[in-house]
Amino acid sequence: MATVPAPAKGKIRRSALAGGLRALRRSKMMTLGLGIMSLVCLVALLAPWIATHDPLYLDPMNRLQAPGPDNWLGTDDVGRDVFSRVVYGSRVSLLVGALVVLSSNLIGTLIGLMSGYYDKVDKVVMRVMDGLMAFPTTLLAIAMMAALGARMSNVIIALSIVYIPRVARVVRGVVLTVRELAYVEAAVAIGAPAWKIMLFHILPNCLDPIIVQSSFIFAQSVLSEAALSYLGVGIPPWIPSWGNIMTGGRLFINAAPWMTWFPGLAIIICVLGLNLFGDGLRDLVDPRLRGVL
Amino acid sequence: MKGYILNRMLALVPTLLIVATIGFMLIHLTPGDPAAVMLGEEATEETVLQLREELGLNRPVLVQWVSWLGKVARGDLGQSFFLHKPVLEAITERLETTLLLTAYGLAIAVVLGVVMGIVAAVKHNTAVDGSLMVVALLGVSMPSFWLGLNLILLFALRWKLFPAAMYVPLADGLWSCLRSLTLPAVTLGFVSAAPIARMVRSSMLQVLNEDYIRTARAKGVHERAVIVFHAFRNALIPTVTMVGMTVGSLIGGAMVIEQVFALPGVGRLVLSSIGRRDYPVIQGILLYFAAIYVVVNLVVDILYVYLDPRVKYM
Repeated sequence: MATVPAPAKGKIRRSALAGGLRALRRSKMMTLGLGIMSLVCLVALLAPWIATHDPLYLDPMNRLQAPGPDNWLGTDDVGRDVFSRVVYGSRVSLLVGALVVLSSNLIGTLIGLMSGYYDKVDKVVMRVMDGLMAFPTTLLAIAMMAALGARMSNVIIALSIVYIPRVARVVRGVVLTVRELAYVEAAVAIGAPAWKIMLFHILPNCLDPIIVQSSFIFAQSVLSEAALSYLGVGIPPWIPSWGNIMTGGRLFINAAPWMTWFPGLAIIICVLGLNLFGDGLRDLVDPRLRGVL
Repeated sequence: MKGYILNRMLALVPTLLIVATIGFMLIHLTPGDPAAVMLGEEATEETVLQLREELGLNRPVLVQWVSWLGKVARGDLGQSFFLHKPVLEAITERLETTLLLTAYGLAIAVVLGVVMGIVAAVKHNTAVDGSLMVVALLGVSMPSFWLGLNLILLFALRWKLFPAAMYVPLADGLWSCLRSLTLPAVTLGFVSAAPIARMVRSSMLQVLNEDYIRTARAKGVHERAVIVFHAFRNALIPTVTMVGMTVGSLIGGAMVIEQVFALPGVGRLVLSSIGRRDYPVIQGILLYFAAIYVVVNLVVDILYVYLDPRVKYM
């Protein structure tokens, strides 16, 4: 019987990369989303070099200045440069979004795997997840922040708790289907330990929906962080975040609308990039939805 | 049908129990002693101990939990420390604004979302479809409070068509009340319309390719009737699910929008309670709105049976 040689590891990686590039070429929206996100990440990374002023420097003599050559996006009510604050604000949003995605995915995946695999765990844990999902997300996040206190780490904890049930539910759904497949039954039959089956046989099947979900959780986290900060229960006011900049602009919406416009536009651009990328990824994972959603 | 509804209502009990437990956990999640956190740093040890006793925090957690569940079951959400009145009374005093805003926002979201979705599906792969989906994509990517601030700037401060921040109670006249809520409701509705529009479009596109649509057209049924009575009716189930989910985001969104438009609703009560560390109020509002959301989802489940009778046999 002829045997097919297993492809070398490097080859698999190259083909995965080539597949990703092919997908990007096929989906203009996904390319645009990735381009926007790369630009936002670049701005966040190079903030000290891109910012024209110190984002915390107060210059009361220069307050509420309209956009001009000295201050490209104008100044706020205490004379701080809006452009520099928006540039530094990208760091906060991306950091919060990335850490929320990471923690909610790690914990949500673990819960989803255990719930899908063990019926007894499912009966208890998924009911708690359902209970958490019964709360309107913004209200739950506000209440969590009230209990935890306004700090960046607490924003990440509160938003992670909000999104963990969503990841757990998606992963559990995949596990329930995959655990009935013949190759998983075969692994059980040869006595493979449960953790090995979950990690090496079931988890790889969950990766696609997790990745798709991640881009949307990232986008929602950026919006939620801005909303919490705008309400004064999120990032502490002295840290320049997009939500905080807009809180300051609220009272000057008529006299200095640029204080509100530009951080808001930054949020829209960032979230738009994430949504475009997420839509493209979803089409790639489930081609039935291509051009439909 | 009655059996299905009864089953769904019975399933509410464990969900509400879990929701109440999570609400209870919230106050115990506070790092350190909740009584000390509520009273602030300047409180003496004596007053902290007194408050601990008043709140029953010196009792075992299990006893506190059972007592809390018993009170919630009787509709007692506790006493506000700052307002010196029952939490339920504090919520109901401000409920009118929040519920009217949510309902008005939902109506705008559904009408806008459904119309945008149907038009985009009918004009699939045209410039109209593309433009509507770009608008929908912008809607899901836009912070609601940013849109609200810009609407205030344009429609209230520049063109003076609507009040910027003035709520007229329903008792003073329906039209004045609706006018005072129009800008906040449009803000809330536009942002929530986007996911509905995307869902209606996708459901319609799937349905429009079905054989029975071709049959209806072949029989000479008017195109508008095909779209509305044949296609949209069957695209309604995923749409109703999305509308049910939208209620949750509308309630949360209303909390933010009330702050933008300075509306005297429950959202502002939550935020002022956070500043005053009035935890029973925060806990009570969280529970109250979670219960509303759970009941709305029950109504959505019951609506399914009317829209698609196959559901009750599943």
